[in-house]
Amino acid sequence: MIYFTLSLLLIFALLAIFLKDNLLSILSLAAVSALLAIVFFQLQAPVAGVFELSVGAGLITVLAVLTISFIQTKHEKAHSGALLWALVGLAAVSILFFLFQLFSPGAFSPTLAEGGWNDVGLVLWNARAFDLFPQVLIVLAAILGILALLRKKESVPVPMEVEAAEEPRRGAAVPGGEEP
Amino acid sequence: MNINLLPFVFVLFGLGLFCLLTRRSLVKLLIGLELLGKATTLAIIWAGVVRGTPATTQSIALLVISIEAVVVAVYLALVYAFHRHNQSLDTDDMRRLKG
Repeated sequence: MIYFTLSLLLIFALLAIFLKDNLLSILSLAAVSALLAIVFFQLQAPVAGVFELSVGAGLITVLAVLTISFIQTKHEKAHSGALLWALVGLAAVSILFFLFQLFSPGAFSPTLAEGGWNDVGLVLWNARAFDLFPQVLIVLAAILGILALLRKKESVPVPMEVEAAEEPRRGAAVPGGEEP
Repeated sequence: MNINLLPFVFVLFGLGLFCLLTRRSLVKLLIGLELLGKATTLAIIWAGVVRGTPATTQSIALLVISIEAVVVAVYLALVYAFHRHNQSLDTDDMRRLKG
């Protein structure tokens, strides 16, 4: 069963690389993340699986789709051929899944670990607590970096001489020649 | 059950490397980077299974995944800023640096 999941993962990774449409590529990458989470569950690593599913298939996909929706111009249209290939791939994978389930139903039994959550929590807070502090610092640095990258351009300051030279003209434009 | 996931790890890593080296779109580079990170995470988890220390390797995998998310967020902000200036996603356009 784990080989089947990893084969699906490689198929979606190939789709993510070779599809022309950026949006379909990102969605294929989300499928890779979801399949990787399933592999983690099968390897009795449920904490990493949940984290990969929420961060890899959720957060990163949402960020990437948002960015693509911001930068995709209207004249760029999705390639109908890529969509067709994605649908054909999905249909082939579904047929494979059905055949696999038909011929070896026992391979789909869940293998979740018991008590894995507490062990990871203990290791994370006791043995590897020092890792958490730089991790928080890195996240904060990333937030500051993103804010710096996405800030709007400030208006160009007008030099004092130009401003002083334009002042009488503004006064002349007012009826009566006086400042309002 | 006797399983070995190292060939899959290497194939996934090779796919990510191939994508990074051959593609010119910034979005495809992100996908290559992600595939490299996923191969690394799978290798870490697999090492925990082989050595019998799943809790330690899971905590390291959590660290890798969170740093990966941070890298992706900063990378996407860079892509957005680059596209705002150049109206392009081609890496060849990044060679024209303005000092």
